[in-house]
Amino acid sequence: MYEFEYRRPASVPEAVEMLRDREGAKALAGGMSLLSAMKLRLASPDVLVDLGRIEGMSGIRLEGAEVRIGAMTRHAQVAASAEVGKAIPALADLAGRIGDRQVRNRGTLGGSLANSDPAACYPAAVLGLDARIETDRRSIAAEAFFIDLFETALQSGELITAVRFPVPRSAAYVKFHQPASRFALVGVFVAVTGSGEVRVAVTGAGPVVFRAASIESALAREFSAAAAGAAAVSAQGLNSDMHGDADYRAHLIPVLAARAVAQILERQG
Amino acid sequence: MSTKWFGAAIPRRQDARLVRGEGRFLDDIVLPRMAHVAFVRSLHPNAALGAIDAATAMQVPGVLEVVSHADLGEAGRPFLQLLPHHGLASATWSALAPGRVCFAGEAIAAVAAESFAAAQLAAEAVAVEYRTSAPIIDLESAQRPDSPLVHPDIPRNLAMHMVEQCGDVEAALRSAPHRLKERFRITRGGGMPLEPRGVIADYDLNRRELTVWSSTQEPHTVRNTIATMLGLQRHMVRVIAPDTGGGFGTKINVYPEEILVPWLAMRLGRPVKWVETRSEHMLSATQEREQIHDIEVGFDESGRLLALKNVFYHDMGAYAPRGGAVPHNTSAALIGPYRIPNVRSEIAAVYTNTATVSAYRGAGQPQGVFVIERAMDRIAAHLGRDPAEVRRVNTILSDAFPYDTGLTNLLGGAVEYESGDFLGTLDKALELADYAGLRARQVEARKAGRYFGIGIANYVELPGRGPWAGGGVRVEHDGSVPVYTGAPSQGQGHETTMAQICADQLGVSIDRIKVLAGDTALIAHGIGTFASRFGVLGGNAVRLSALEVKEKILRIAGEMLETSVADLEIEDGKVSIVGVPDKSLSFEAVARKALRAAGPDGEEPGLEATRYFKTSNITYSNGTHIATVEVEPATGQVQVLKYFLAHDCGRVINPMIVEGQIMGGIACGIGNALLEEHAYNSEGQLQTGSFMDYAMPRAADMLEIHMVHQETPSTLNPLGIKGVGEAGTIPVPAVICSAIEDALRPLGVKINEAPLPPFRLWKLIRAAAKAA
Amino acid sequence: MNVPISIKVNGVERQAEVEPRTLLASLLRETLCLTGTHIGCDTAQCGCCTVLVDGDAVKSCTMLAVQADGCSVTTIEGLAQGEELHPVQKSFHDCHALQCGYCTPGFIMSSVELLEKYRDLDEGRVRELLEGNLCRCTGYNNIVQAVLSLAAERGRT
Ligand SMILES: Cc1cc2nc3c(=O)[nH]c(=O)nc-3n(C[C@H](O)[C@H](O)[C@H](O)COP(=O)(O)OP(=O)(O)OC[C@H]3O[C@@H](n4cnc5c(N)ncnc54)[C@H](O)[C@@H]3O)c2cc1C
Ligand code: FES
Ligand code: FES
Repeated sequence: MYEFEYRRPASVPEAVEMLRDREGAKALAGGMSLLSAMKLRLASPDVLVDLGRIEGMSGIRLEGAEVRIGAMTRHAQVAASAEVGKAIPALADLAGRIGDRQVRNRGTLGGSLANSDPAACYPAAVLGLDARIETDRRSIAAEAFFIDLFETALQSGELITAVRFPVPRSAAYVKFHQPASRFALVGVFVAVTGSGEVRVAVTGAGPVVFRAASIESALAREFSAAAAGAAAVSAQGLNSDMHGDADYRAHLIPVLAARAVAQILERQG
Repeated sequence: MSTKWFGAAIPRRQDARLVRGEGRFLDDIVLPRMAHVAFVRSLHPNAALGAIDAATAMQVPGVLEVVSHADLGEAGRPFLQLLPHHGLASATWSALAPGRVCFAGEAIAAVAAESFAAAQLAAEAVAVEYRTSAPIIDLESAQRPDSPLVHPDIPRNLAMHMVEQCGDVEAALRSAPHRLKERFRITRGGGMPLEPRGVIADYDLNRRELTVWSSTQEPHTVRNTIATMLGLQRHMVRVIAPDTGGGFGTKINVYPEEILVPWLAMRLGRPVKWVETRSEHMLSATQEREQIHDIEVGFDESGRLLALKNVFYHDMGAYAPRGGAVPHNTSAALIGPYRIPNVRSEIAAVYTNTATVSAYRGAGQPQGVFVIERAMDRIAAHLGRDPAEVRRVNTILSDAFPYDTGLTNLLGGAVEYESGDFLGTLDKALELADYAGLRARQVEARKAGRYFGIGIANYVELPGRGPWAGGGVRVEHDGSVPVYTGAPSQGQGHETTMAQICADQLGVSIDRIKVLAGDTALIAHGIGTFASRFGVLGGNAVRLSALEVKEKILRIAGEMLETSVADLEIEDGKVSIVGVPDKSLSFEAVARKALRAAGPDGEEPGLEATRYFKTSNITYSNGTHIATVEVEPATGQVQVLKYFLAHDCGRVINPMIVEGQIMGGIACGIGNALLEEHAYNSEGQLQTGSFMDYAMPRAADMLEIHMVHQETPSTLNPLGIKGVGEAGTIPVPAVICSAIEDALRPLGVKINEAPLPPFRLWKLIRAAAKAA
Repeated sequence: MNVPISIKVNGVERQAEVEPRTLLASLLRETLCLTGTHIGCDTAQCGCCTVLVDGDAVKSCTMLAVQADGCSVTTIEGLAQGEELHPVQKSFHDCHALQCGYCTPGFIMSSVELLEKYRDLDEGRVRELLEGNLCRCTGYNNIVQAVLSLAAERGRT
């Protein structure tokens, strides 16, 4: 790892100040992605601004028809949360499948979203549930947040403070592991929102999380596993690597969507 | 001799410190004034090296030295070939790349600095000029006349061409009622010990003595190589293998770093440490398994094999530190437990611009077993017979031992199975698995539209490889018994098994025994721990030494008690007169006497012996594995459901340790069957540079394993042991692929390759669907 | 610029001045000479470096020492009470859940947290929950057994 300077703000405004202060400054949350990249010398920030000691950046609250989760909330907390388990079980389930226990004890919601790793799980839930991302300066709709591979709508020095997840009628997440990293080779989040809209968000398959329009319209016509499974998804623009080419990923999307739908239907009995 | 300890499931003695975190692994060793090393590794797979500019690197604070091949002098010459196989076009590595690089990751320069961070920073600042050429990565095209060359002086990249045969294959094939041709492919993985490699060297300028710690399976070979390469006398070099976090073959070779680090220590006049990172390990440690086999078999109506013809390509990677040992093993393992009267096996081993290939758990044998077992399944399918029955009609019968297969092993001797009951393990495994019940379940599963398959594979393992191993036994004046051997343990449990053997042979409680290993100062000669050899050879050497010490104890005690030796017995560290138990002498008393009584006419002082056990042949273990799987055609995902095996490794020293070895071996095998692959792209860049892309088996990939032991003693050594270290791994790719093909039979998918991660299996399923 | 930190390690308050880039694993191994915590990879995959930070199992190779400032850290050296092994250590020994022992400290620390935080453990669940630790020697089954036998014991009491 290269050398850097370490700062530990006590509040969000102080953190934003520190990040604005220095060009090469970066926020440090759980460090699971950032420190890994720094160890391999793929990232070399001059200053790390550790969000770990800021009061009020983590925590889970049910607010009306929304679950608000602080950016610094660890994956393990979301997975174990009774509120989340009750309101959006699919989200608790998703958090409980990220990485492994040790990773879940450190990694945070905010870090995962800011990182926008193409194979990360949370983006699928955020887009699938049409959540809003709150930052130190504004609130961003999921649709507008994820831009491209490792690229989000965040401005330089802008901090995610929390995410508001509208409680859906029902939802499910199905993850197909990349065999080595255990990230999502493809992950599909299917939600039936409070208003009855069916949303299908796909992670792992493309450069950034996206909605599978063909499956959504098939499910709007008929909400069944068979309908999801029969929808065609184009391989155009999807990722290819040794663990799966674009065709394979395209093929997996409806297969996994069908499983998610089956889970939802099963839960509804 | 009573066998109180031998055969018992004694808990391991080394665990006490390991579970407390008190193991002492290489990276735990810290010496005063220690400098740290980082390597500059080649970015290109095939290039001539131009200028190496270290000026900027030398400016990094804390940097002591930057060296490249030009600085090394004699120490930079290529290593000697360890196994100069007949007809081998040998290419060996050097301490640093000599003017050209043959794979991406080869060490070009080394930086020594006050800290590892400084060394690493400086290594990045070394500017290397490359004149790149196209690399040759593809195994099959490496031999073409227009292929790029890995070593300019080795035409067509051909490292070794060898033909092994018995009978007349062509004639037998011509007259066989049935013939089949197939192509099989196995790709490469790595041993992947969880502790990466590492070396520390300390040179004492006044005494001219070099001490080296290395995470190695072969301290003596490391010592000998260092002495040769650095122009030192062997007795001036001491090599210590501390606790070692796994080897699996990856640590049997003497690596370039094991010469370079000592050289740097001598040059700098201070201790030097290098610990490999996992990323470096992926790039530069040895790998194994890549082969392509073209086979043709001839057989009769009952499925009896009449002829087996196999031509195979073996990927050597960039260098051949151990000649053609791995492909030769493949050839020897092809026959398995079967009677095959006519065999022709042709090896073409080629160099490619990839990391060096050398032994990994199984060393060529999993590939041989894969080929013959896939062939057995194909024969069964072709004739519409049960795969277990086809194996049965081919199995060598118990009255046929010793059985000469007609092939030769890599020591040049015959592949001659000394003893065995091959039908025994087949029957035991079938019974354990309730084979008939499984077939009935399969019928049900298929009716329900599920893809449930049953796989079977037999194997004969070639462990216990000679030519020799040593072991010493001493009884100290306080009655403690150090046992010392040349071969370190990387988890096999020698600290326990060697003590068990010694305890019985000497007649002393195991609690008095301490096994010391992995230090060239303990014993003059050693070959190391690999090829499942040490339990067999080292165990028998310890037996010889213990018996010699015991004889001396009896002689001295006889004099002390004024009785003839024939009237004495030893039990639990005491010598007594038969029938007069109260007249006894402790080992302590005898040991003290042995020191005092030594005089011009008496015995030599001390109770000590160091003997070597020699063998001209290899022992042969065998077994049968059965697995059931369920395949999900929509994703290509395979779930292994049940696993059964019957195995025979001769006399079992410690069943708990044997079972542990087998379970660990099976996990490696499951990796080879379903997960693990080191992939290079066509530009020669490794695609699997970390565990983010190299898929290791985890707890959830393993499953409950049911096993039975069969004990057919080896006739090649008095203890009757055969060796077991690789048995768990060898048949696994074969058995899992057999089960997958069986599961997918309704879809007509043929499995001719391993490993089969979901993506690759899905492609096969899709191709079969398109063809149908 | 070095940063002063104060960490309770195995019950003992320790002060140190560290470079910010010092990893918790390096602090433990190099500064405090607690070499039972091992390093097996550089991508946070193997779990050999697992320690407990305020009771949570974490990979100390991917956490800065400064992040642990003010925390309580338990390493493998902090488990046994003198001669008396911790039940998880004992169970690993009894079940032959280790061979080379390199992964063992990480597995034991990870298992301590697992047994602490999870109830209703069955074989499948334990296998899943051990996903963050790699072992190349044992084939995992005896490790799973070591954890399950403790869970069963707990169930009986
Ligand atoms: C072995 C392993 C397995 C994993 N498996 C999975 C998996 O299966 N699925 C999955 O989704 N993820 C997985 N991850 C990633 C893991 O979830 C990470 O924790 C997550 O992606 C990053 O979160 P973090 O809190 O660690 O962020 P950090 O690594 O600290 O930061 C990541 C990036 O986000 C920025 N950042 C952090 N917090 C904020 C904020 N509040 N506002 C703005 N920017 C911020 C940082 O500056 C940095 O650029 C895995 C990681 C590892 C090491
Ligand atoms: S060293 Fe591998 S996870 Fe920490
Ligand atoms: S015991 Fe060797 S890696 Fe687990």
